[in-house]
Amino acid sequence: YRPPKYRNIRYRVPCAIREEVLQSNRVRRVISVVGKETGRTREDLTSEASAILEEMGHEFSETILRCIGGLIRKVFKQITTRVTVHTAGLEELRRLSSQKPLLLMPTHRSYLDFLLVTWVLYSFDIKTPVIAAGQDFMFMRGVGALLRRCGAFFIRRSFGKDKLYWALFTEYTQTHIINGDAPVEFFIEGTRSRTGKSLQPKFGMLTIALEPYFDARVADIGICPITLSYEKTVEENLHVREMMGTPKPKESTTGLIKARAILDNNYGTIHVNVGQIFSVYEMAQGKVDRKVRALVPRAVIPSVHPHERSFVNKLAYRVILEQQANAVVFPCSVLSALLLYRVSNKQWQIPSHELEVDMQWACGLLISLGCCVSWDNSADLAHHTAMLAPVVFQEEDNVVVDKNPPSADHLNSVFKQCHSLISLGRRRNELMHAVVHAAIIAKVLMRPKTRERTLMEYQQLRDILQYEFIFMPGRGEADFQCTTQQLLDLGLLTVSADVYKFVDMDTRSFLTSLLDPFLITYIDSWQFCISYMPRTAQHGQNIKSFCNRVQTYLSILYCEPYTHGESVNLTVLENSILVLVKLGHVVMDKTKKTVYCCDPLAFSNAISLFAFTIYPLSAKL
Amino acid sequence: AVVSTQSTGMEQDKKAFPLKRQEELKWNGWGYRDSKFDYDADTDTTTFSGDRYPMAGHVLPNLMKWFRSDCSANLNYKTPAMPLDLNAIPKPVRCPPFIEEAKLCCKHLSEDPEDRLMHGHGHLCEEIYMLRSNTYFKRIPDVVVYPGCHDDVVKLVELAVKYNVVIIPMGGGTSVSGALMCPEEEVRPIASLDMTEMNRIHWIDPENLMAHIESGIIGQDLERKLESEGYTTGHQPDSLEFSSLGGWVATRASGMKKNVYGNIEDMVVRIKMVTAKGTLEKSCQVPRISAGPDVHEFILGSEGTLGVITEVTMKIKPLPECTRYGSAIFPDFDKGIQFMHAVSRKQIYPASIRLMDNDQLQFGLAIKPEKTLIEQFTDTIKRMYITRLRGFNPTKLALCTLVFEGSTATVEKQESEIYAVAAEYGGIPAGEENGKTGYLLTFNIAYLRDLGMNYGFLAESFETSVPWDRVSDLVKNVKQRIIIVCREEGVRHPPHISSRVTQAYDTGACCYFYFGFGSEGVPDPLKAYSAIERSAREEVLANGGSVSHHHGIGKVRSDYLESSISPVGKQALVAIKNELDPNNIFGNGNLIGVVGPSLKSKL
Repeated sequence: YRPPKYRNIRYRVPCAIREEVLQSNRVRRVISVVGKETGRTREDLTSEASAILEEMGHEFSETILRCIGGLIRKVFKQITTRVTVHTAGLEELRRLSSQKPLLLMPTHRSYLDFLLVTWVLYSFDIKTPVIAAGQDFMFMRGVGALLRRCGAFFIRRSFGKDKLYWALFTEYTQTHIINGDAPVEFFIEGTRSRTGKSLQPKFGMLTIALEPYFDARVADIGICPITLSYEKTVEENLHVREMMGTPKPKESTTGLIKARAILDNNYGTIHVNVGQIFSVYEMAQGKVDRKVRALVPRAVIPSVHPHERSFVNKLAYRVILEQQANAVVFPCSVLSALLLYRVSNKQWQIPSHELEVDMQWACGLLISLGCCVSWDNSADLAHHTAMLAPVVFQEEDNVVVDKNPPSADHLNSVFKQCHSLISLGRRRNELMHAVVHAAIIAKVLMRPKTRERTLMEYQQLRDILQYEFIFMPGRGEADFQCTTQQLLDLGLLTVSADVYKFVDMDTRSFLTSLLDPFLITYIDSWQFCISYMPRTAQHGQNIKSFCNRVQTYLSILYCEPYTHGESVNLTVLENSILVLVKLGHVVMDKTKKTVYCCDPLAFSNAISLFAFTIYPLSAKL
Repeated sequence: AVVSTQSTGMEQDKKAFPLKRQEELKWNGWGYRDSKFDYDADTDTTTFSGDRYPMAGHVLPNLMKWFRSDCSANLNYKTPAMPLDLNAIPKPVRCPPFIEEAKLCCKHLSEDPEDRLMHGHGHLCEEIYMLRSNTYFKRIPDVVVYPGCHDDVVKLVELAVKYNVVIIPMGGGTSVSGALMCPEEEVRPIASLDMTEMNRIHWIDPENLMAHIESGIIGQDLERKLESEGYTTGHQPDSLEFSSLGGWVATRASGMKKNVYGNIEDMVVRIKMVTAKGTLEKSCQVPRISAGPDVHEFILGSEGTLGVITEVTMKIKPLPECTRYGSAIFPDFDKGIQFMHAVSRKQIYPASIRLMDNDQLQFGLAIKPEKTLIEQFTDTIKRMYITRLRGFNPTKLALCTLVFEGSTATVEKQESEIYAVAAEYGGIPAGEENGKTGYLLTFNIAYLRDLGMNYGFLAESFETSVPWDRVSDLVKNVKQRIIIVCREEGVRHPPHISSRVTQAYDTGACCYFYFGFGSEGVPDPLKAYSAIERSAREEVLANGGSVSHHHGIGKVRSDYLESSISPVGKQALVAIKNELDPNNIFGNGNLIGVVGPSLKSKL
């Protein structure tokens, strides 16, 4: 293992890095500012800073990495069928690793993500990254220390206004980028996505990581989106529970030992795809003027300019879209979508041969829409069903969606079947990024419409679903243009005299079935909001507990049999409220996270108008 | 007590080059015709010809090895210079009445195509590249006039106004900003005003330590003449051999020993400039004047756009009692920068302090002449000491060269102070010899580009000034940018890129870069070169560097003027230009771009 080194690197051991951070301009200044504010002495604050760094810092050791490398390999060998990697992308990554500092931004679906990335890079003779990790792992006896030696550094989940912590964390991250000790890895989604879809990007860490460029400390930074596609994630069951409201179990070493059962399961295939490596320099041309910062001396802590902020925001979306473009969709995701389609028609038991035909068709459709499906034209239904276990099983010649899966034993009966549906929904979500634009257009074109109207309604739905899916802000019309052209080329759509018509009814109903659960849930949730959302700021209710109320309400509203699980999926419910905040119907207190709605009448009019135009077929309304 | 220099002997009147400069200077390269690097492929050795430089006649065994390894040059890829093609020189736009009348008020006037070509360019890489490849400039001066005195210039400018002839003043022709190139779209006749016949020192004033000098004098002549009287201006740019006093003023030049003597703006006491509206000058020669904004400030750096500088009164200093060279090596470039910064904070400026990075150090070593066996032996011992005992990494270390000037006591005090500071930053004194050769080689380095160009290697230098806290990052980032752009432009091998910090100021430093790349396989080397140059400049600006420390704006950097001095600032310059030169007689298009009678409509 002799990876190429960044050309401007100065060799430093981990404790030297911490010492340099402690001596840095930023930290020294913040210490004196905080000292003035709080009256604490310099020595006191310095020793606190030193302790924070001790808690935060990694202890990367190449020797440990070598030992662990073999172990990780064994683990992956045990639990997966195979791990495939995109070698051309890794070659490019290795080439660039000597040229410029790199940021690695993998998708985040599993605890295994950063082990996987580190191990793949190690195997390909690329400098392994230092990883910004949540503190959850740190408290795991032994494991925390081990991860530190593999390059993980730990960040508190929330440190709000703690100036000293903020300065230390910023400086610690940036010094790695400036000196190029190792690539810096962090998750643009901020946390593991429980839903199978990409989460909305977080901008804080990216802003910190790009500041060395804005500040001309480095000539360029390479951003490498990495997509990790799991056929089945290790934490699947836990994630489904969390979406329904069971809190995440605290990470602990005993928990890990208990969870060794995962070693006995097979989690199928993992694809590791390295996306196009962005050059920040190239992307910032004409958008960020570094000269502005050059007028602020290095001794003064710079502030982020609005043009830098908007650049970071756009870039964050670009990264996620690039991650999605490189995602591999597994046939079991397609199978989930098909099963959910059947369930929505109250069919819980589907003959295998029908599904095989459907699979063939659906995978073909997805591939023609530009989605990368690992489909070899032979529906190995047994394998795909096994990957959806335990919520789906094969019985004679039927594939059955379990209304009472063993993994939902802890739930009361109302939620039991939802468990299966949310679990399948989670798998279906893995393909949503590829079809969401087409699905919105299919939804809009339930009857033929003029181009202008189609576009308007597309934009409207896109706005409504902006927290559910990733849309590049300001690219609505371009995305619309691109997708309609694609549908026209495929012959799914026709246009005559400026009127669009969706001609392929099977495709349309399949595509709309992917979107309907979200839209129905949104409208149902909003109905509840009209009646029950607090009216004034002082009565404002915490968004999380409000969502729990919506969940209870909807579970009573629907009762059995459920046709989709989104109604009780808290992440969807929360998004339905957040979008109301974004659209200005609901007010949210940023710090207290409480919501209220001061004008339910106007809001209710807006919603019924929307429900009527977009969703005339909703049986419930 | 005024000393007249009229009666001094022959030696005094010797000129750096004759009126017909191409007789002694290369027409398509740097410097004297008899001085150049010659490479003998059979023995793989290089020699320096002629007898003008200490290096002349010596064998340079390492030069081409370095050229192959550090510059990735391919010596089999030969791009020799084309011979002069008189037919390719553009036909003149003649103005017979102007020429007839001009002949009466000058020392000499020439319409010879060779003279015209010699006056239509400076020494930018692209200018030399074009000359070597017989693709001459679309537009060159139509006539070359050699005025003999201030009054000649006054009359010539009046004639130019009368006949609407463009005037482009020229001194030594060492510009590296495209300032001497004629605007391609210029349809009026262009007269080049060769100032080098105006090379007299009118008087030397030992009482007030001033000298009144004609602007066409070449640096080496000025210094030689003053030296024989026991004085110096102390202005020592690297182009000293060929650049002129008027050129220094017109570009805001800077000299190596500015720490003792100041930059050109600190040295001038009075300037005479002939404009289209008459002569601009102050009526007194005083150390300081409070009379509104100083008009000298817009003459300095005006780059020939406002008028012709004819005479300058300059500060002079008695020759220093003691000049001593010195040097120190540092474990790496950053340590060296910290050392220079410390020197500036402590205000113990030696006459010159320069810091070469490792790449430039290797470059310097490559052009050292062959050593005797004993020298080689002592070198080995020294190298062992530095790398083995002191643990310096030979691929990282940086060399600081020093010049001390002044009274023996001052020099000795400074020396001990400097080396004490150096030690704080891990520096080791590396002897007088290393320092001295460092400075002497400067004059030879300029000749190297012509050798490189024989093998498709394009090279250029550029400079900037930047606050101390950004020096290190700027150098690092600019190097990286050049490497990346070279790759994008299809350059096959890593380019040569080296830098040095050449001046220390209280608030910052001047950084100087050499870069060069092999153009083999690059479809349009000039386009690639200019893309690389632009990217490098933009990186400099983004890093908080200035558009130029002393090379000036000219034409190649005029795009960056507005963003450097704000649109309002540029409007002010345009307004001055407009007022002093409404018909754009001084139409070389430098600094603020091509302006002319159409100027008002453009605004």
